[in-house]
Amino acid sequence: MTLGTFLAILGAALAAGLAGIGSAIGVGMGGQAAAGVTSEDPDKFGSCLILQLLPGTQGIYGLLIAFIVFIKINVFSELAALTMEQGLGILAGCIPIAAVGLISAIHQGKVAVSGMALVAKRPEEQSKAIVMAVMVETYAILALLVSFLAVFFAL
Amino acid sequence: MALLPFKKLTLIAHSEDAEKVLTLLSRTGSAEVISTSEIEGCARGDAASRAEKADVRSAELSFCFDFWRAEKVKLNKIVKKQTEENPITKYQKKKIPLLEKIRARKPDVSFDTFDHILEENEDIAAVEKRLHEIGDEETELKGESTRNAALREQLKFYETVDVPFSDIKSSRRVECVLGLVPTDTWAVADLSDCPDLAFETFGNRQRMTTAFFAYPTAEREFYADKLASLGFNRTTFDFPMTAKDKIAALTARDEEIFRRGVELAEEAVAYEDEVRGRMEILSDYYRVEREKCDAIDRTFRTESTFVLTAWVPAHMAEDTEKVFADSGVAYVSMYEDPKEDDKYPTLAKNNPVVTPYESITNMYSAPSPREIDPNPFVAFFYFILFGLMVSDAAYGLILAIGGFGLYALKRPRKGEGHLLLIIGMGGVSTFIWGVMFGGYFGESFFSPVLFNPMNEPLKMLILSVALGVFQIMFGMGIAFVQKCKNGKPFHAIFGEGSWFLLFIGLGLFVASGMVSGMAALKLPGLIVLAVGGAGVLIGGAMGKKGVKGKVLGAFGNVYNVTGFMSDILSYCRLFGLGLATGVVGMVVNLIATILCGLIPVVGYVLFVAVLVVGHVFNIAINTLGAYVHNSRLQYVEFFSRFYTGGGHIFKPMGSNLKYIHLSNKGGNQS
Repeated sequence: MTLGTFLAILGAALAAGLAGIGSAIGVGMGGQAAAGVTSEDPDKFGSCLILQLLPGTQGIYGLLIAFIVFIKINVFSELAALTMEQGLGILAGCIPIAAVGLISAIHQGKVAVSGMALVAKRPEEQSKAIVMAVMVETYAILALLVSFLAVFFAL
Repeated sequence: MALLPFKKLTLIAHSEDAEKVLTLLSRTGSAEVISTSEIEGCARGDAASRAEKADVRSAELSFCFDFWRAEKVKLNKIVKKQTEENPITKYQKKKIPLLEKIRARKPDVSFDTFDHILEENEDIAAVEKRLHEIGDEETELKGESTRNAALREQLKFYETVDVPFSDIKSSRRVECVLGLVPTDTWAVADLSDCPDLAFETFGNRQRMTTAFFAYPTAEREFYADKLASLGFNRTTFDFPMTAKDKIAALTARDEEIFRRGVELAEEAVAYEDEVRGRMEILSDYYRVEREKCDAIDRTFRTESTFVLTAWVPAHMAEDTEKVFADSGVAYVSMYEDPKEDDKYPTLAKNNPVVTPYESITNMYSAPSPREIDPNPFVAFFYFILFGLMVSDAAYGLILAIGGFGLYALKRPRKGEGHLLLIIGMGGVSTFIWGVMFGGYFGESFFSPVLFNPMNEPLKMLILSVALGVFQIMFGMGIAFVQKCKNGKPFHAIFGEGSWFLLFIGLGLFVASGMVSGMAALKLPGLIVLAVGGAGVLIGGAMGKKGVKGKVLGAFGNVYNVTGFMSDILSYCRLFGLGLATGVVGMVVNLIATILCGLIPVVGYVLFVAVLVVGHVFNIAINTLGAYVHNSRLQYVEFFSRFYTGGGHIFKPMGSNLKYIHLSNKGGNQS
């Protein structure tokens, strides 16, 4: 394996890893709050579950980028030999979704937790709580876009 | 296809007919009673005590419903734990077939039954009373069981003492005591000054040593002090049983308590079948009663008449009037068109395709009654964007069959089951886009009609942004029309109109530079751009006071360009979500294929399992994503262009029903 290829895999690992960590933290926080609300009123489980799931998408975006990197460097059959410049290019392309995915998922988790407090008090306002949490995700989507274009056109 | 007009009904009738009038109104479901404007020399209606009574009864009924739920949860837990050899309860969770569960809906109740529900319910009162008794007994038993547990915990220190507590007695010469002494101090205790002290220890527990002491009664004070200095604590137990026997007795009693609790729960639950149906009707009866009280509070009355004001949808006015005319009540009624500043309720009437999407709009805010009904536009864009986000023909088919299929099975009442229809239609849209992009379960079995977003992501990006531009422009177009309708054509021209010119000019200018053969468009493009820009400046200055205000307003308006840019970029989510579905689907297929090749025979099982679980997960997560992100695009990007909202949905008296559905079926209307 060349250094370039290694760097590309590192980029993929960071994208899936960091975004995944962010989602794990976000969904984890959401889960704790959801358990609290559900203990008071088991009927609210459904609404809380949706809110809990929202910070989970960043992990999927990270996976998506990692996967595209894998396709690009042909992990599944004959590994491509990348130059160092090419590898660095891919690594750089992975950074937006890795960093933004990590942080936005945590913050989205916090908004989701507050949203559950809102749902606990006023179940009819569930959709508003969801929209608030979705606002945070916009930036993860923009990062996904940048990462995708960078990785896709880097090679 | 619009928001319906309303009439303001003013109705005057005799006070003795008040009840009849309210009942008629709650049956027609056509009137939202509002506060009557103040009339000099008249008093406001007052139903405070009647409302309180209704509240008390409602609370009582909800107590019963909650109680039953708690008892059933308790019994279900026991049922899950009990073994066949050692059955505790015969209670069985009612097994409702899946189809029935799907079809479950509020039962139909005739007006006749509803109005006579207060008669003949001594048995309900008896059940309520009994449930309270059961609740009290359970609380008592629970208290006893808690006390027993604490006592048992204490007794455990003495488990090794095989003498009944009452046998430890002092004689005239010797005093005997049993109790606990901290193990730490006991270990290092210096007893050299206590020659006459006899003792025996019975083991340690939780850093306490159980100890028995005997000393001469004559020197009681000295020894009592000595023991106290060691931290000795004499037990207060004095019953004629050993600790072990007492613990056994307590455990047996706890078992009894448990059995009794099960018995009580079984008894409580057994009442449910008998009376619950009628209690639900009662519960809704008090809901309507409460609405009537609120209506009374809003009226004005003289000694023998009352005045009631309500909003009635214009198309229902005639029917409402007819019901009153046929009822034999003496009354005077008047229907007026709403005045300029009257805020009447919102009731939208749309075709069956658009109607489900009303719930999306209302989630944000119900339309204000005087604006253009946004629902048809929301329906159109929601439909288009939904499919683009999921973008897999096979998933679309599954969603469409699932959504419409469940709807067909459920056969919900009019106005219900909207979400299923939205998902079903989303499935259709997904199918269409899936065919366009050639996505089937994350694979491209058929070549795409348009292009494959995985191979040509730029095209996908351009399509997303173009749709965004289209929707935002469309929203501005609605605002333009609305402003013209409201008699503010200049606002429309210098507001949305100049932005349109600016964008068209910009488009022409950019096109002239990028597309060969269009260079001639450069000048006209620049002119349109300049005119538009000037219009935007004027639009910003309009309505501002002073030169400074006008200048600030004008340039502030130009700053809105950033708002447009970020709103348009927001549509990139279509690209991201659409691609995510395809890629995750692909990953699932890949993992499944790799597993299949890895292990013989078992691999095939894994192959199928991974495919099913993976694709179900992908559908679920993407449908949820499409649902919320689509809503967001409507709310933030689209609505901010033209929509004011802030209306309140028409809620006629008699519509607040939780358990039942009132209808004429099986009853007469008199």
